[in-house]
Amino acid sequence: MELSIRREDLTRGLYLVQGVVERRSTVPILANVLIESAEGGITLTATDMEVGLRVRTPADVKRKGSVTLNARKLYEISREVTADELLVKATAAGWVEVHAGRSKFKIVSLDPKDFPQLPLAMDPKGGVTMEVAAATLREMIDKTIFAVSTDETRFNLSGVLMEAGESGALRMVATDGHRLAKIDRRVPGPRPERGIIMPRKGLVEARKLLDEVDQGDVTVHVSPKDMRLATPTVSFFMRIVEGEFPDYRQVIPGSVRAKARFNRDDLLAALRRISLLASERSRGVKLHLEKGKLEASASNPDQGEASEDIEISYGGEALSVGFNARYLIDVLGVHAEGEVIELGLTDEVGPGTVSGASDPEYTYVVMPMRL
Amino acid sequence: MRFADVLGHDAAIERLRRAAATQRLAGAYLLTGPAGVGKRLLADAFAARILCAAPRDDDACGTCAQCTRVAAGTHPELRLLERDEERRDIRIEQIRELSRWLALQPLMAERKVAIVDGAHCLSEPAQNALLKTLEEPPPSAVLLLTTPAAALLLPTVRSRCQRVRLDPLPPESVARVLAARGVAPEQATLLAAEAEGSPGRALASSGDEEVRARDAMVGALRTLRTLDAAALSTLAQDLARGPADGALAAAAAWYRDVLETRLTGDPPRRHPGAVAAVRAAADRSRAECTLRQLELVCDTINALDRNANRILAIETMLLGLRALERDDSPRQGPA
Repeated sequence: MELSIRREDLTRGLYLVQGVVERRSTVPILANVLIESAEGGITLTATDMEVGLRVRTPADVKRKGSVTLNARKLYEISREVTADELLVKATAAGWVEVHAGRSKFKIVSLDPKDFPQLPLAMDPKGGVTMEVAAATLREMIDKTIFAVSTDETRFNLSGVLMEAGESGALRMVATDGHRLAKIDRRVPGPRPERGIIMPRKGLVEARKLLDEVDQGDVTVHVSPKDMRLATPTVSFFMRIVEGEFPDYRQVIPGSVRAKARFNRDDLLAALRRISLLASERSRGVKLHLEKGKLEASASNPDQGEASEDIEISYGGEALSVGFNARYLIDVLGVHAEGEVIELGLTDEVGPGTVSGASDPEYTYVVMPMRL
Repeated sequence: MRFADVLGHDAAIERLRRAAATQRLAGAYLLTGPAGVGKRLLADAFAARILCAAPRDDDACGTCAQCTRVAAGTHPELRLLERDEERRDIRIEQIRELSRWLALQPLMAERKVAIVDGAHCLSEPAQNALLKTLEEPPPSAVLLLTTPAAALLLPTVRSRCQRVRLDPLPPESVARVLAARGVAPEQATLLAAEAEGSPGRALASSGDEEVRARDAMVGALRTLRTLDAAALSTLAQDLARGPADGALAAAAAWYRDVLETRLTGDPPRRHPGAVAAVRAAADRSRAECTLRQLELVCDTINALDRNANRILAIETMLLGLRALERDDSPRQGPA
């Protein structure tokens, strides 16, 4: 194969794919990017067998073919050279020359036949395909991924569930057993028959891709084996978690006894300050509600105590509940600045809920702690 | 690698074939047997059989898309875990990573297979981290653990695996493996006789350097009582710098033969080409003394396994062997 490519195009493509190449060195070809000639340019493909990525990028292909080169090295080369145009040329078997201005590199290529076949096609067989606005998908991921369990022995909690919501919306749910985030968004198109669990790592990579698509739509394909995403220039797949997501519906309280409304920024800032003196391990803060006022307080026998009042809209009877500050800070952090938040409490030991006053489709449930 | 490529171990293969054919696979298997006997080969063959799309005669076909990927080491449902060379054990992070991978839905096949080669190298925390996965393996996962030393695994790990025991192979089979790898037939018979049923061990001692070290060792044993301390010291240094394992195994084989010949009068099994020399040695020495020499060699092999100073350990052994041999024949008196 022989081609010339603008340095800018190559660098952007490699930036995207080099993030997913295999970090462990057990399978050498997985450290490589597969470069193939394609309609109007080339494709760059990389995988670690858990996620995979193919980027289409314009190039002037003089001789068709395919090579595989170490992704990191090629990325570094394309960042370091100053020429605007790079010439990539397969020479003798197993060798590729890269010319850039006055620099010349001769790099080992592994046989492209050994590169794994990846499920990147967006065929509609066995699974469903939806068109989703990238911004919507970004929001759904951001508002759930932080609640994913980090305990690798509970593998059915190690990802975000995607399924059909009761009202026909697209739903994502994540929980680690202490808190749960659930978001529904109206998205046209069919819904997966059964929910799938998307692992954290796959979602993190998918999220990076979505940043590249600012406004437009992405195609989402969900099958019982994997989840795929496609933008005009990028195809992506991730393996999904095997197993059943627990029945999360029973932890969402049907009705709450006390409802308080406040400004998201007020409580977020107060919690950040107060939790400085919470115990390192439990990060426990106490929320005391009374008419028109919320007092957040924390104490730590080794260091001291802190408290702060904020104004809220609350008319119920006085109530005190303890929470892990991090669980509240996490969820307030993903709500928009200045948003009016509704905190729902059942009693001192029952779960609390956090949601935007204008967005009942995003629910967060957090278990209290005894302080 | 297919079952057909694995020599011997018929009973074990039959059991694994049947498990695969009836789709009644355990979540975890523990393959045990002496080092070099073929545990890893069998694990590879079993993995290939499990992942093969078109098995023939209860064996992997070797030609389907799955098999070619298994052979190329790029099958997405097959993962190998072993000790990193620069590490002492298999770390807990490796097991955590493996557990995470095992929880993923298989992409290309119905099953996914993880081979943990040298499972005795798992650190204790790593073994404990593996317990949860062994107890409730994800439905499509099969774990294959191999180890020459199952006793080094926690009982909780052992009890959660189906045990597959591999016995030493007969010397003829070992010789066939060697011959297939291009070792001259005579040399193959000789090495196979000494390998205690382990083709891997025989192969490891078939290189030129290994053969030289072995010959130097056995040559020295035959004339041990005449060698002075300086000669023994030189020999020890040469052995310690080179591949000593094969040489020590050869020494153990020599004493075993001397002992057996002495006690039974049968021709030596491990040295069919040196009947006269073995008989001469057997006639010269008492059984107790040869036994102690054999023990000394085995102790040294163990000590080297545990990173003893190589020169020192081998020199001490040689001096000890000579002392035993001289004690045994008081007529000659001390040198």
